[in-house]
Amino acid sequence: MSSEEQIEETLHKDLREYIVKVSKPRQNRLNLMIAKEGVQQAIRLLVEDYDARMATISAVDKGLDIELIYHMSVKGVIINVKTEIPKEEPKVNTITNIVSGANWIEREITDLFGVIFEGHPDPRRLVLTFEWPKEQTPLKGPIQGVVTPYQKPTVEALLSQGQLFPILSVTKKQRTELKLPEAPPTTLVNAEALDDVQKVAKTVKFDEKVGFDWKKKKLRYG
Amino acid sequence: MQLEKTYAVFWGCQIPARIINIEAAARRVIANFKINLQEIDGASCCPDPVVCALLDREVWVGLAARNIALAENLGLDMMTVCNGCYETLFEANHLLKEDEELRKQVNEVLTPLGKKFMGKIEVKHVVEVLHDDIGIKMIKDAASKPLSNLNVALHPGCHLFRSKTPYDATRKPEMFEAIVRATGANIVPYNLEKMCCGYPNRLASEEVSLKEMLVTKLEKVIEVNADCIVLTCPACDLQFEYGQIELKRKYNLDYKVPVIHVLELIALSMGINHKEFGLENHRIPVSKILEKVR
Repeated sequence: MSSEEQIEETLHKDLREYIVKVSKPRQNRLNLMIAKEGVQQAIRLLVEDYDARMATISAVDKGLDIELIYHMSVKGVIINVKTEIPKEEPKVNTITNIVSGANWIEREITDLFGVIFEGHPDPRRLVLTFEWPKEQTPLKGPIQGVVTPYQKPTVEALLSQGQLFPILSVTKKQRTELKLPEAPPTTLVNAEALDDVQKVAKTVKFDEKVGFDWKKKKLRYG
Repeated sequence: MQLEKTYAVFWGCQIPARIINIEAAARRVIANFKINLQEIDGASCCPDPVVCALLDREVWVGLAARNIALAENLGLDMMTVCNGCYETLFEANHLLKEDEELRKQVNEVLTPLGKKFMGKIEVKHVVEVLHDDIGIKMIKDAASKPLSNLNVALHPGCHLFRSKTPYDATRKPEMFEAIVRATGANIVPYNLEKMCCGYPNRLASEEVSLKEMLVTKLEKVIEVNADCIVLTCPACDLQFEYGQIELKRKYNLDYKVPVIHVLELIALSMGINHKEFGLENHRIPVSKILEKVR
């Protein structure tokens, strides 16, 4: 078993609940996408069990989220630990308590992308001046996804009710007057059917692609 | 009349919620020709062939397959009254029947829901049912009040040209024309029949959709002295009706060209009282039509 495979097996075993996806783009390279709650544990495992060295942390504005990539090196194998931080609540635990060299990198990311590293021992400005407005983050754009404003009503209605238009009470009255059933037996009146539709959308990851917030029944932007 | 056939009817989102007069006319006309309509319990949006299909092919074909599977469970061919639903369901049905790999992928999504696309049914537009199952002769025979005083401009709508092969694209628009003729109405050509009403463009630029596309069609229809526009698509109906209201409100352009669905036209030719199917629910007054059909 190569060291790369050995590390992958350990990560799978110890971080199972946090792992979103593991891929091997080429030899000696491992990409590990994990939930943000698992970042500290992943870095601790790599540093303490495999004597990993952290090269740096990259931040990327992905539209809906900020992606953080922790570039770790273990005996010639590069492991990119990736996580996505929602722009609505850009918070993640600091790893400064594990890798002290992350201190300034996290401060720089806070300045430029607005990500808050919770538990950071010294979260002062680093690359921006102290007078710089707190709400202005030079490298973070507004929250945006693949759905354009004109597509938004269609997507939100499809995912929240399975139909594009509700049947309003005034329409129900008109329908009754015309001797029509109050409403056809669609997802508007059939909760189980609506659940099926939402499951299809979740299975093909349409909700993730468009950035749909199931609690608010709205897109996260626009 | 011997005809007895049952279709799983797919109303779509617009008709039951926004243009109920089309549904009411459809139910009365179709029943009159001894065709039964079976509701599809649990149907969702088709889904939409413009926004959804372009945004994500997987969810589009997955949800379409689910709707078709519901009709398959009833053991019935599907009939759509909406051109957009027809585009989606016909296209998805065709693709899934032809592409084994796609069918397998879609069924992997549907299986946990207890559903399966089997490729056993056909998806038909109501125009095909009227033309092929009922037949022009029967529609003509049923026209107890032929609409010979009514001059109509046809608007088949883009999705009615959807077909399995390009050679077959004008089949349904030709059926539509034959059906309108069977009602006794006079078709007045205006040379822009195949032009889009502008409804999908509205999503990108309302001004272009209304002032460039809709106005161009309306001007031509007025030029040939048509009493109304006859169409087959609920989305086109909304574009013609709300569009004319918005042209007045936003650009002070005054048009009042009545719009009527082909099923409403047949209902009138059959002598069905217009109040029975709510013809006056149209946003653009239909008094001009009613005067001509008395």
